[in-house]
Amino acid sequence: MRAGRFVCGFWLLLVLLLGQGAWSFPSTSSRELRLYLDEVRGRGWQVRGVEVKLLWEAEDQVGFKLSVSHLRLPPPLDSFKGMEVECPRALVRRDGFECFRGVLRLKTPLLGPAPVKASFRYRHPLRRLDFSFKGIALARGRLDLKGWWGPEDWKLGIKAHALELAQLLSSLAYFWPGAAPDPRAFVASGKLWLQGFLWGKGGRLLKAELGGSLKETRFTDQEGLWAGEHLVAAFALKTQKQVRGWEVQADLALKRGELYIDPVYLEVEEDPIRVGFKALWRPQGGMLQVSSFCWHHPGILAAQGRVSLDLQKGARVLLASLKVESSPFSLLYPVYLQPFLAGSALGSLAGRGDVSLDLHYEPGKKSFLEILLKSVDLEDQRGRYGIRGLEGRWFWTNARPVPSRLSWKEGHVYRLALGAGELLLQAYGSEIRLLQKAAFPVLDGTLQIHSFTLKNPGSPEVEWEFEGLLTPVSMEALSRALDWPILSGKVSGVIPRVTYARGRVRVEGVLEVQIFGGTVRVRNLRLEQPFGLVPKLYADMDLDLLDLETLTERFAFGRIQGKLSGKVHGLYLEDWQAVSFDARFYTPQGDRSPHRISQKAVDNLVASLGGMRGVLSRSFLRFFEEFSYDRLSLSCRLRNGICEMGGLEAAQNGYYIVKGKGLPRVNIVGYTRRVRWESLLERLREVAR
Amino acid sequence: MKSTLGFFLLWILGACVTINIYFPEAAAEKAADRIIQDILSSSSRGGGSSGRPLEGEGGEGSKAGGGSGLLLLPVAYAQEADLDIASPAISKIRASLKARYPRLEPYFRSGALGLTQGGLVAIRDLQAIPLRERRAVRELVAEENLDRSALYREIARANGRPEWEENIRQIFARRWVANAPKGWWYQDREGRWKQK
Repeated sequence: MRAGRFVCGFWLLLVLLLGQGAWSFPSTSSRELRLYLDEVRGRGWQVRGVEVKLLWEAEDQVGFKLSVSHLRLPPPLDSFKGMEVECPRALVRRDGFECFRGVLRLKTPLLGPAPVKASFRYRHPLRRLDFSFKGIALARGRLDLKGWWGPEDWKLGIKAHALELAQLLSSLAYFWPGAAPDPRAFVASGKLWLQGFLWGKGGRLLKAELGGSLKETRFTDQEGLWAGEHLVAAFALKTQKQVRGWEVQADLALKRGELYIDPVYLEVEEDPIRVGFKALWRPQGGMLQVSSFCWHHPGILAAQGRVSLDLQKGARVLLASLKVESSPFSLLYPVYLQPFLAGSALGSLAGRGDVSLDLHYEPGKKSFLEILLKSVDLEDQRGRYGIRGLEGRWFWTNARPVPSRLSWKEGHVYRLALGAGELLLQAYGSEIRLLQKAAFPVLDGTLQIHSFTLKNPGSPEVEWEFEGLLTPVSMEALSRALDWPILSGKVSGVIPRVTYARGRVRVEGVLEVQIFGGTVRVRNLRLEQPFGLVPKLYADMDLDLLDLETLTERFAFGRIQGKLSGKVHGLYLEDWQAVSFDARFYTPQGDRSPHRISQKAVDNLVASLGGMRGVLSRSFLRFFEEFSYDRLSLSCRLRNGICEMGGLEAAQNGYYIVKGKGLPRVNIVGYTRRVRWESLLERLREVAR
Repeated sequence: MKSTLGFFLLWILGACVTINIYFPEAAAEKAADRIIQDILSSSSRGGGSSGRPLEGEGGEGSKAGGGSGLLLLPVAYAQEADLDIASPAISKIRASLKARYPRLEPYFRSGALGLTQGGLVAIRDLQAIPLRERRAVRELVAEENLDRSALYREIARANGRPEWEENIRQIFARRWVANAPKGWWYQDREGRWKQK
């Protein structure tokens, strides 16, 4: 409005100056008029050294020059220190004036010194000014503006060529502090090309259509969590004022470069990433309704959806929906999933197969998440678990529950092989529950799952609980899987309840291991951080009537006949290595089985406890293959890497490990009370070899 | 009378406060130096292998194990005790720290990473890290800090004194800085970044 008034006043001034001369001046000679104003001032502004020069060329043709040597204007125009408008051929009529091929010079540090080609035409009856400014030296590039200004509306055409972003942002910050980002928090450089139109009325913008491109662009926020480098992009933006807000449509094609939007890193070399959205923004209610958005990363991700945000209360989501079309897991995971899963059990996967996703979230109303998996293979890069041939439909909802079905062909946990299985589940609210009893092979046995409940998945308060039954797994398969010496026997057990909370797995109930003709019962089994760097295991074990003959044969230890009972209480393993326990093994009371020990076994027993080999073979006892014994016992209390040894009863300076019976009688007596656990293990390994 | 009683109570309270739990600072520093120097020796330029078992740990460890038993003995003996750093958990964490170090070292050198006053690692200047590496470095730092915290906790635990964790962390914070190569950045007591 103010500009319109100024133009109107300027025209009136011209008409007055020309006076009647405009209609009756000699056609032969030209006249010149100079006007000089020393100073004009108003509130907040001051103009000095105003010079107007008029030169009549013909009846309605005049050359004029207006120059202002000193300007003092209120902000944000305060950078304009002077100006000069020159119009060698202006047409002045009753209904307006025109200026062709004029030149405009503005004295301001924000623009380069190159003169601007200016043309304008004012038509008084319409009170409309048409203008064109070409070659404005803005931000080391060139800007052309063309448009009109009238009482009803205005239009501004913009054509910008290779503007430097850094300079542009600082100029923008100068003229329109609210629109430009804080230069301390956001830095950008690169070149901008822009073309389009703005429409408006008075001081208000009503519509804009802009398109452009960015080259060699880099930007970063203060911390470097949002940054881009070597970016080449094309964009289009359309916005229009509606009754209740603004309609915005934007499209961006990222053609080249690197982008880091913490924690996601994107690199574009060939096919561009295309992003677009259509939205309605209501500044008054603080509402942003994105009626559609799309994210298309060729070959990796095609996603679309919509979202409504309440920006008044810190971007509260009112509605969000997202559909991800079937994507190859091997490409999707490293770019878009892994960054968010880092540090979790799902944080280092390699895999393949296809995944698609459908999410609808509406607080207080129905929300759901559906994930479809097609022939997915997953393998933890740290070797903790893997699964192959994973198929199914996972459905979560907060409304009426819908069953989910997951099946797999095979898998493993650490080195325990799992067979094919299928689970029928129900995911509802913050809970996942097994709907149907399930069973799948574990090594050569079967794990039956009677019930399973998972609460608060994905949060630190995650908890699960399961009840089931382990049908016999052969010790042979288990020891092979765990890289132990091959053992015979079976592991089985009723697993009344296994719970997980705060990083701890607790097995309630007794795990029974049928081994060496006897039974080992494992109680109070507890695992801490099973998938962490240092898994910890706690357990109490009781051994009942193990057959020593089977045991010693297995290890080529030398034959011992008899039964063995014992306990390993307070067993504590770190990273699957024993740290402490209280163990005692002994001949059970009232054992009526034959008690015999071979010469080789005596030799090995002595050697494994750090004694001299071949004591028997150097005496007359070498002629006896076997000896009878009454009882044997050995105990070890492990603390700080040291085994405190003990046996049956005290002997002179030592303790009995084996007490002989009959003739010839052989007693084995230990003298070392403190043995390094590592050396003991080493000697046992050697003997068992 | 009352004041005498009050004074007496104060004296008792004062006496209670002066009961000190002995923390073997010299032994802790020695242990910290051994662990830190072992980790720093596997630099990317040196190409130290991470899978290699920790040398000579077993033997010294068992002595140290005996030493921790000595902690129950009077102070005069405890002075000479080593800190037990031979538990399987500590060995596993040390191996993990050692394996990660060659990947962290270039960023310490460039000043992108620094040592904190709490014995951890912080990103000092993310902008000094190329975009494609930023996520990986952030993950490495998160893992490193989990391992370091676990190390301090496990040392305290292996010595039967979980309450020492904080003391051990403080000792390590100082020793990381003392053992760090020239040019690395660290936080001083006020949390300001300084270059060594």
